[in-house]
Amino acid sequence: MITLTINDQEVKARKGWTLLEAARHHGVDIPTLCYHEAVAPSGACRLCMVELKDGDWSKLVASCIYPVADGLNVYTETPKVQNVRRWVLEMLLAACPGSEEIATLARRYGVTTTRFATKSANEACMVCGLCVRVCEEVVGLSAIATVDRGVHKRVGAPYLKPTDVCVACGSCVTICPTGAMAKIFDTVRGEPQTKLTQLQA
Amino acid sequence: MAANAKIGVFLCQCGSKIDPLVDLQALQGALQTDVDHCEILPYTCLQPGLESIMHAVAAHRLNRLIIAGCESRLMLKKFEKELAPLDLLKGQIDMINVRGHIAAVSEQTPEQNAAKAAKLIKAAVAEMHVMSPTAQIRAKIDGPVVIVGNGLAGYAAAQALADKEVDCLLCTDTLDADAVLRKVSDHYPGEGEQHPRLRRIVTAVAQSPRVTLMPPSELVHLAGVTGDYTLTFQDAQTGDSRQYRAGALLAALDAELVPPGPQFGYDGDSVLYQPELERRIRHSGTPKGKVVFWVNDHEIGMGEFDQLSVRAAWSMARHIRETSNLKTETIILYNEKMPVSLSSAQRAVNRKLKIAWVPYDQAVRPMVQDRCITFCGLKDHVEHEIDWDLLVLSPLRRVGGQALQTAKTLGLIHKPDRFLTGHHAKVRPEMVGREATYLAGSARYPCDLQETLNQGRRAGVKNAAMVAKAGSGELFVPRTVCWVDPELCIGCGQCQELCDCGGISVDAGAGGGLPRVVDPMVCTGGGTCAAACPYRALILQNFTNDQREARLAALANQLEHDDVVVFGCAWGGLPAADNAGTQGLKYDPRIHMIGIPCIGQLDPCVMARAFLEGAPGLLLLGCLPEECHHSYGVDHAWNRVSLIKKLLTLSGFNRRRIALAHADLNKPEEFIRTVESFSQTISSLGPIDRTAANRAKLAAMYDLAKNNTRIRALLSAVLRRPWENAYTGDQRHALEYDRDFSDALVEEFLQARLLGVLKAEKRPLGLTELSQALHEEERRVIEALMEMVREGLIASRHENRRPYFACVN
Amino acid sequence: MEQLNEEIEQIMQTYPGKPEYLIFLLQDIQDKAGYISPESMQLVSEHTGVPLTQAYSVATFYQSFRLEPRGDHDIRVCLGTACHLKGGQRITEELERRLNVQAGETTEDQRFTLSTVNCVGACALAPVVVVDDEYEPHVTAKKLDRKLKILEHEFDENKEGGPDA
Repeated sequence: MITLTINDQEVKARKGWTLLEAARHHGVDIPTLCYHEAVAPSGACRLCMVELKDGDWSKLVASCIYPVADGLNVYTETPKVQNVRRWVLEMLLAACPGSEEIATLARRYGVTTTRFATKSANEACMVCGLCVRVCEEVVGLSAIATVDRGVHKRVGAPYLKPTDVCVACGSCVTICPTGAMAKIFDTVRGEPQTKLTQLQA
Repeated sequence: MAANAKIGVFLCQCGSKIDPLVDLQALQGALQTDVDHCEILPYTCLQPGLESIMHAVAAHRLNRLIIAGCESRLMLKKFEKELAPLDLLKGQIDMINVRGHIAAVSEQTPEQNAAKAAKLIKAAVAEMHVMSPTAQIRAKIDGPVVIVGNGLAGYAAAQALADKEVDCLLCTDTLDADAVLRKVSDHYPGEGEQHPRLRRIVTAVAQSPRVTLMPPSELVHLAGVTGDYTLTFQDAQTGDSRQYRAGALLAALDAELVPPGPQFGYDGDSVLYQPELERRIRHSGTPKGKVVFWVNDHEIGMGEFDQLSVRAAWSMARHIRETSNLKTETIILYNEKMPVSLSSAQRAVNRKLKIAWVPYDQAVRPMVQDRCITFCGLKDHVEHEIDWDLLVLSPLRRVGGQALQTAKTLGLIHKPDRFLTGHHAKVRPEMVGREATYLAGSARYPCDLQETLNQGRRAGVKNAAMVAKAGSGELFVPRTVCWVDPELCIGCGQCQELCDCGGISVDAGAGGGLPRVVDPMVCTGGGTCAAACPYRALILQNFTNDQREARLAALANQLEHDDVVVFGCAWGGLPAADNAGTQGLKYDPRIHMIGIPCIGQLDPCVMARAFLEGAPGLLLLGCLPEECHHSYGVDHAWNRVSLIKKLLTLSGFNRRRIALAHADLNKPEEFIRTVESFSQTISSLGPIDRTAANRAKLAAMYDLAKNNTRIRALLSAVLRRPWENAYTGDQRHALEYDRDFSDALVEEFLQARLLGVLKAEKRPLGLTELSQALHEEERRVIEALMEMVREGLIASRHENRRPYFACVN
Repeated sequence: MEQLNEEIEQIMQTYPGKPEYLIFLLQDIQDKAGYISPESMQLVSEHTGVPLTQAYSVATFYQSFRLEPRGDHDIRVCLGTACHLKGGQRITEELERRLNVQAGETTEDQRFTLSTVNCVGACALAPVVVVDDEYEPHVTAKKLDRKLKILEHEFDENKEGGPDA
C-alpha cells in the first residue's frame, strides 16, 4: 500500500496506479482530453497537470502518466495548475475552432476567447492520438496514423485515401474527444481507393 | 442451462458521467437479490477499480460479470485482458452502456434512469444464467502446409514457408525454372522484368529441403478443418487416388487468358492475342512488318483490367523495337478512357524508341479489317485507318480449366463467371481466416506477375506465422464461432450456401458425408447459419440463440406498454447509439438498446419470443444491406422479419410492430430520428392486449418460428436477394414467391395454433370446439387436422361418428 | 525501370525483416528509385512487419523522403542571398509559368521537377539555376527557355498522341 496526499487528504494507493487513477478513485476531478481508459495514456494535451509540492520545491506533472509513490503531495487546484489549464485551453480554442466539446470545456474553466491565431473554422482535430491508439490497441488494425509533421500534422489512412484496412467499426469516432473524427471519417472508411493491403501480424 | 453461474454486477460511477444522472444506490438495491454480488465503484476501468473487481471475483468465486459502464466496443477488450488471469473468457463478461444509452441521452430523473438500467441489466443477468462458456482450445496445426492449384504464386509461397522453416507440399507440374518460364506468357504476358525474380524463386524452391514436390494430379476432394485437412488427389492418367494430411491449405490459382471473340477478327495467324505474340517471339524471333497492339479491354467488357493489358503491350512493343533495331514499327492503339501510367523513366524510353501511342474516340468502336483497322480520331472526329501486318488483341481473363475445378473442390466459388475474391466480412482481425491466407494469384482478381508473387509470399508468411503460433501453443480457437451438432444435422447444406466466410464444409465419414462441420479458424461468427438452420443444429458458441432469447424474454417482460426494444448491430445501430451518447443528444427514453454483432444472427424465434413476453415493438437496426459487414446479414434478417410480419398479420396484430431499419454510425442524429419514428409508431398502436386468445396466438407464433422445420427450411432456402441468380433454380418471381410462402405459412400457423390448444387443454377435443376456440371455419380446420393426423402430430378417434383429436403421447 | 523492381527486391533482402530497419530500407529505396512508390511502401511494410499506415506516417514525417516520382530533369533555382538579390525569385516565377507547376512539383508529363534550394555556393555566377547537376550561370528567362527546348526535344517525339501528348 502506498500513502500519498491529494489536496491535503491522505489517500491510499497501490503500486502501478497513476496519479490520475488514484485521484479519480477518490472522487477528485481532473480534466483530461487526450486520455481514455480504453487505451494507454500519452500525456499529450497537458490538461491533466497537477502540482507536486515538497516544502519550497514544486513541479508540475501530467497526472495521467505519473505513477503514484509514497509521500507525494499532490495538488489539483493551485494557481499554477489553473494557469496551465487556461493556457492549454486557450491554445486549443485557437487550434480547434470547430469543436463544440473544447469550447464547452474551456467555458467551464472560464476561457472563452483566445489571443492566438485561429485555424480554419471547421478544424476540430487536436491531434491527441486517441483515434490512432484505439485502432492499434483495441481494434488491432492500425488503419490510421498521423501524417506529416509540425503544423501540417493530421490524422489519416495511408495516402489519405480509404483502404481495405479499415473495417469501419467507428471506434475512432466514438473515442474522439472533439468531434473531429466524425468530420474526416469518410476519408478513412469507404470503397478502397488503393490496391495496397496490410499484413496482420 | 448453465450449472452454477455466479454473477457479479459492477456499477460504474464514471466520475460525474453516470452517478448523479442515474441513482446507483437504487439500482444496486434493485439488483442485489438477483445476483451473487453487486458493487458500486468510482471507475470500474481504472487500475483501482479493476483491482476491486478482481478481489470480488476471487472472494465470491464469480464466473460471470456484468459491468454497467460505457461502450463495450471500446472498453470490453481491456476488461477481458485484465481479468483473463481469473479464467474469465470471452462471453463471460458483458457490458451495458449505462453512460451512453441512458445517462447521457435521457432527460428523466435519476430514479427513472436507474429503473431503465435495472431492466437492461436484469436482462443481461438472465442471459448469463443460460450462458455456458466453452473451453479455451489451443489450435493445432497437424501436418505440412499444402499448396495446390499449380499457380505461379505457389512458388513464392513455398519459398516464404521454407524461409520460415515450415514444411510444405507443393503441387505443381515442374520445378525446372526454364520450363516454368516457358509457360509464363500463358498467364502473364509482357512481364519480362519479373522473370529473373521468378527464376530465382523457382530455383530456391527446387533446392529447399523443406519443400516436397507432389506429382502432378488433380485435387478431387477436401475434407477437414484448418489444422487437420485430408486432401484426395487423383492422377489424371492412371486414375489412382492418394490422400494427404495437411495442417494448412493454400490455393495458388492463375486466371486463364483466352482470345477474345470472333467479332475482333481473331484467327491465331495474323490476328493474335497477347500471350500468343510472346510465344511466337520466343519461337521464331522478332516479327518483321508492322505490329499494332489494340488494347481492347473496354470493348470486351474487361475495362477494369486495362492497365494490365496496356503495360503488357508496352513491354512487348518495347522488346520488339529494341530487338529489331527500330526496324519493326509498333503502334499501340488504345481507348481514350484509359489512363496511360508510365513512369518517367518509361516515358523517356518510349520517346527514345519512338513507340507510337494512338488514342481513339471511345464512342466509336474500331473495326478490324484485312490488314487494317479503322478508328475514330479524337480531335477531328474523322475515321482514320492504320495498316498492320500483325494485330495483337487483349486477352479475355477468367477462371477456367483446372483452376476452376480446384476452386470448386475447395469451395472458393462465390459466383460463377466472376473471379474468386469474395464479398468478405469486414470484421476485427481477431476473427481469423482472411482470404489472403489461403488464396493467391490472378484468379483471385486479375493482377500482374509481381503482385501474384507478392500475394504468394504474403500467403506463405501468414501461414508460417499461424504455424509458428500454433507450435508455441499461442494459437487459440476463437470463441465466437459456430458449431454443428452432428446429432441434429441432417446435411441439407443450407448453412453452407448462406455462409459468407467459407467456414462450413462436409464431414466425410461413415454414412457418406452428411453432417456439416465448421472450421473454427475460418468462421467469422456471422451467425446467420445458426439462425437459418431448420433443425437448429448450429449454434454460435458463447453467444447462442438460447442466450439471446433469455435476455430478450427477460427484457420484454419488464417493459411498459409503449416501450420498444432495438437490436443494434455492432457496425451500424450500436455505434450510432454509442455516438449519440458521446455527443449527449437526447432521445425518447422508451427506446431500449441491445447490442448484437449482426442482425443476421437473430433467429426468428427470438423475435417471436419478444412479442410473446410482452414487448410492444421490436426494431432491428443494422447497416445498409450493401454494407453489411457479414455480407448478407441484413438481407437474411429482412426475410426473417418478413416472416414475423406475416405471422403478426395472421394473428390479427399490426405488422408494423416489427421493423427493419439501418443506421450510419457517423450520423447519430439520424439514428435518433429512426428510433423515435419507430417509437412513435408503437406508441400509437399501444401494447398487444394480453387476452388468453392473444397469448395463445403469440405462443403458436413462437412455436412455429422455433420448431416448424418446414417453414424454417422454406425460409432459409430463399435467403437470397431476388436478383441473385447464383444458384440454379433459385430465380424467383417476387410476387409468386411471396404468395407461395404465405400459403404455406397459413397452413402451418393454423396447425401450430391447433396444437397449442390441444396441448393446453390436455384432453381430446372435437372439430366444433377447436374451430370455435380459434374462430376459424370448420372446413379449414378439418383439413389441417387431417394433415396433422397423417403426419403423426396428433391422433384421432371417432366417438358417436364424430372425430376427436388429441396430442400424441 | 525494368531493373528497378529487381533492385528494390534485392534491397529488401539486405536487411532483416524487423521494424527497426524501416528507415534504412526507405532511405535505400529512395536512393535507388528517386522516390518511394506505394508498391515499395507496401513491400517495406510487409518485410519489416510495420503496419502500412505507420510506414506511411514515418515516410511523411521526414521531409527527405519523397513519395512522388521526380521528373527526368531536375531544375533547382538557387535562392541564396546573392541569387535572391539578383532576381532568383523572379526566375522561379517565370519557370513556374513556363512549366505550369508550382515550385516543389513535377510537370504532368514527368519531364521536369522544379524546386527552390538554398545557396549552392556559386555566388559569383548569380543568379544560378542547376539543371541536372549542371550549373547555369547568370541565367535569364531566354537562356533557360533555350535550354528547356533542347531537353524537351531530346528525342524526336511522335505527333499523334500518347502518354506525353
